[in-house]
Amino acid sequence: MLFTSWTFVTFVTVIFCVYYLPPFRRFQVAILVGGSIAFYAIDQARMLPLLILAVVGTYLFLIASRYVFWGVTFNLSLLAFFKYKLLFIEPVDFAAATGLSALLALPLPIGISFFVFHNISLLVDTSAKKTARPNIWETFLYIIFFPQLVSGPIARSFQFLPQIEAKRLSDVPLLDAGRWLICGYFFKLFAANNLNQLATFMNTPDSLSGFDRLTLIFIYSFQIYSDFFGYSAIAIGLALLFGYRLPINFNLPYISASFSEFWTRWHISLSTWLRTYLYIPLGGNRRGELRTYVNLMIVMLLGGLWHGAGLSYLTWGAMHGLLLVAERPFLRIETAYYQQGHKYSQITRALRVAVTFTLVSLAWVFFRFPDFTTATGFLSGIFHKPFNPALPKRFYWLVLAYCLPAIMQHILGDQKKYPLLLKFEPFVYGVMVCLALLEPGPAASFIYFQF
Amino acid sequence: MAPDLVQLEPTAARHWAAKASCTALALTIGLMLIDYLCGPLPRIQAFTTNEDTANTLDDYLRDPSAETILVGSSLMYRLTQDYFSEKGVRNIAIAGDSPETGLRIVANQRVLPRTVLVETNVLERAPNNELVEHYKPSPFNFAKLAPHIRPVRTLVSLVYGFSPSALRRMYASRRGEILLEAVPPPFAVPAGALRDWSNTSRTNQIRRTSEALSSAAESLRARGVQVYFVWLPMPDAIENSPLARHQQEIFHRTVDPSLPFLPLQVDRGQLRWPDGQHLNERSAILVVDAIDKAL
Repeated sequence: MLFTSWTFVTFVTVIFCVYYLPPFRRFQVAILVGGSIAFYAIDQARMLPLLILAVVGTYLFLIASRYVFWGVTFNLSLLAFFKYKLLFIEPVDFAAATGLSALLALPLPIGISFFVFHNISLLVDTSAKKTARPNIWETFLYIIFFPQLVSGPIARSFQFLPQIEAKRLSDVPLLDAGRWLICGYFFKLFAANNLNQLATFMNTPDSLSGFDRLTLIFIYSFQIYSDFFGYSAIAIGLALLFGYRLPINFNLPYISASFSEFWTRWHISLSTWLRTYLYIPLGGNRRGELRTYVNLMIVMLLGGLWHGAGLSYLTWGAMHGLLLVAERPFLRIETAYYQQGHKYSQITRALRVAVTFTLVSLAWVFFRFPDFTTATGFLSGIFHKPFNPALPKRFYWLVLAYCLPAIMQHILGDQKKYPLLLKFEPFVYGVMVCLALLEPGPAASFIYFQF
Repeated sequence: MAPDLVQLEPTAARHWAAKASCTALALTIGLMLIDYLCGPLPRIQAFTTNEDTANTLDDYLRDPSAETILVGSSLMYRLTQDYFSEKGVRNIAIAGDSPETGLRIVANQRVLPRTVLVETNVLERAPNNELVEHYKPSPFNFAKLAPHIRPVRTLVSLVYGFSPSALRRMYASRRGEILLEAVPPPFAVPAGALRDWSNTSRTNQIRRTSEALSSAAESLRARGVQVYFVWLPMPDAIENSPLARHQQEIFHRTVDPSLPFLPLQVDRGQLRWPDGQHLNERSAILVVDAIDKAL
């Protein structure tokens, strides 16, 4: 069920109304769990037993706290089986399959990458006594809460579980929820969906000049940001409606002046998860320079593979790993330089932001084309094809218009710095609602739903 | 280490919500009114076939009072309405679809044209029932009230390619003159096109389409509309292909013989089909001229 469909709006309205009715207050957790199960079943009823198995399995390992290691292994096995089986077997038609082949023919469960990471977080944090052991209902709610079930943000158990308590309508931060929802829907409907339509030119690269290819790469860069930021904002807004605060997932990633900074601003809940449960257990940066480089490469390669089983995702992870490794010595020199009292130049920062953004955008090509050869072919065309722009001028005006929300958001940054802007904020949100209603792009699924 | 939870910001909620809602409402209703009263506003060229179809049918639904309506597939789609000598011609042919879709959409409307011209070259495709349902007039005519304005695209198209209908027709006429002066290039039917037109396996669908066209045409005729079927010229090799013959045979067997077929007098030696099936722009102008004369 797409967050942008009227079916979903009706679904949320019904759950919201029932949830806050005084007679049902005792059953609020059950209502959210039931709603989340229905939300999942509407899209993929066939895989619902697997979702329940993953949650119940995790809960059983949680009870038998000595077996946390096996709980983590159980979850990683689920992820590995469903994500990577097609590396070893040919795709099988589920309708025609029987017995073991039917198991192999099962499709990729929606949101598996996210609910498995929630499970692992719960197992590890509970065993480390960071949070009290939840009951089965709380476990279900933490893992399958519908706003974050399909694509996160990946909330940590010690952040989420203490929030489970009876909620009253009067305590709901309706304005904050509304702001996040408007922002999310605007970014998805107006920016991402329209940019998605413009980016379809990438599917016919033969007719594109080098300049057009480069432009389309930047378009995709803004599309993926608008799409995923939009999704995360909607998830945060929805959670607030039900009285839960989720972690923020983005903090203006395209103003990052280095790749390490980029990973503190992009998909923050995933990068924090990888740092906490992978990078630090591997030794982080505490075991010497060489080991730090190896650890960074391992984390980024696995991060790439987490998105999907394919050479393209692996290459994307490897590119980010190499960029993180390559910049590390320079960052050290830079830190020493500024410690000597030198002033930080805004021009230098702007240049670094431009370089970081360009390289991050080039790496997105491997996301856009899961087929490795197509991705490299598209990139090499930038240099081999004539460089003159071939797409019509009106195309570029539209690009500018649909990228503008993300560009303005990044340029303005913290709005609290601009009192005038705060004064006009409600009017800006009004315009956003109008544009989302009157100029949504053709409906398209969220990019991160495939992971 | 954990990502920061979302921060809540204290604001005077009621005032904020009132200002935002009023802005959104005023802007949305204002723009919709402008569109409704002054429309159709300039529209940027469609990027996809679906978008183009939606634009064409939306425009038709807003103003269904055309004198002549053309329905058909991508073959008919090539006959740009601005090249017709009469102003009241509207081409609602849908690329990649069956002529049945367009004809049923026309038959569902309350306001009918004087003449409908139905292409019969492509009959083996099933109709798009979803589209037919979507463009069925509802008691409240929501489709007509639904916003067609897209602020950013309207603004961009105002800057680029703004052409009111008179200007567009003048441009089309001048372009037509230039094209007609040119000598048609040499031409051969690509092997792929011949392959496409050799498959005669979709007999049932051809029969169903023929019956549906016949029935819709009968119902329109009963309401005073003159319906003509037309075979748009194609290369000899395609016209004599197994599929073309098969289609025409079933069509003529199925359709009421009293429903007229529009004969087109056109110099075939001047026509060209770059992909073996679709007329190029110059040839389309010649066929439009032939239709003009025949009507």
